[in-house]
Amino acid sequence: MAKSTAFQVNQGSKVTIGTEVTLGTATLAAGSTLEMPCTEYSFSELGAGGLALDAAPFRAGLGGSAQSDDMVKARRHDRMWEVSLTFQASAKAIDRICLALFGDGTTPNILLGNMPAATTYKHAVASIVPVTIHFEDGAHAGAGTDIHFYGCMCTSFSLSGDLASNGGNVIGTATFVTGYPPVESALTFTGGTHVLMTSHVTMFNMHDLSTSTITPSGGSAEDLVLYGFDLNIERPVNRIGFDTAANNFKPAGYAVGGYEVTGSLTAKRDAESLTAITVADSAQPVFALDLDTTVFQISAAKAILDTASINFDDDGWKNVMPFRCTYDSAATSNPVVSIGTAA
Amino acid sequence: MAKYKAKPEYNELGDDKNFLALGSASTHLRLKAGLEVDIPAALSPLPKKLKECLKESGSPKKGVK
Repeated sequence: MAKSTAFQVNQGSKVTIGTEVTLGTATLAAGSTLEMPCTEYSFSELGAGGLALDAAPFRAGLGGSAQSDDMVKARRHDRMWEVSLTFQASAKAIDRICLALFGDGTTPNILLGNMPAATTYKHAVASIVPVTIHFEDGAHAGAGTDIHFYGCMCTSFSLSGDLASNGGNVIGTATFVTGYPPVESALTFTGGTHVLMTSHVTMFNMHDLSTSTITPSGGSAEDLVLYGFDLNIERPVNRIGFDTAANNFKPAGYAVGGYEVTGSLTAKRDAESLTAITVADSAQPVFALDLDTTVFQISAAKAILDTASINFDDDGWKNVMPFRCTYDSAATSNPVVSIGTAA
Repeated sequence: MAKYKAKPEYNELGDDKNFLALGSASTHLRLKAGLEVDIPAALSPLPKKLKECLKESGSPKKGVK
């Protein structure tokens, strides 16, 4: 065979998230899709991509100190492909990822203490939670040939803002996993609801923050000179079971685990920031968080500080305040974190 | 803005007809917990069958059997 001149490039691919109707079936042409404002992305390779080997233990004694092909096997039954998307944090993109991660896709997107609404997802059973992620021109042949991952479950979402980076543009990163093998073929979206890239006109930017306060429990709001923040929501997604080799070891479904919500603030070290992290020995370092542009808002009623520290930067010392978000134990229906995307 | 609570019939709706289907799990779970909720503006107008399973709270007796 001659060497191929086909290639793929990052700039050539458009990334689309599609809502599925049934787990194990890619988004239908007449489904709902959103073109994502991605700046970077990555995914597991086809074929042996992400495919690890398992090996049997060595036998004792002479004549048994090497590995035969019966002792080494590719681990196909619990394989998961991973897709990572990094994108500009627009209102529509944030809403879509929150929908995939905890089922709320309408502002304000609220993660409650009693989420998720379902902990298992079965193959061939209706659910709007799994998504199809489609990369236009992402197949090995390059231009004109696509690749898509279906049955994808969101396992993490982070928002990160830094006043000195990316023009202050808050960046989102979402990670998905799927137990279904990726498909190199075109998906045509017609007849449904298709939101195009040009509709991402409302962006979360650090420069627009009008409120950046933390309010220690029992205290007053401390007004931070905020340089940066990040917020991370994670949960495990485990595949259940497997089909025959002829059916590509497709999963019987998924089970999802609990949410962990953590984050960090970086603010000028001053009286406000120090008061924010000063707690009596008898109290837990609990505070309410409020970051608000009047359009985008991140709020958490019961965040708890986790090992605050100092950055000794040349442009002034800063307090770094890592935290973990919790819900008020008075009721499981209380919010852990809320992410608003509209005024 | 009007606030709503779930009628008992809400619990009988399938997940393809309740607030999960509309992409608002927080509204769904709060209604199931017996709490009153604001309906996100983006979800209006609600499907007729879903609206029939809600009652306005705070307005005396209206919609209450």
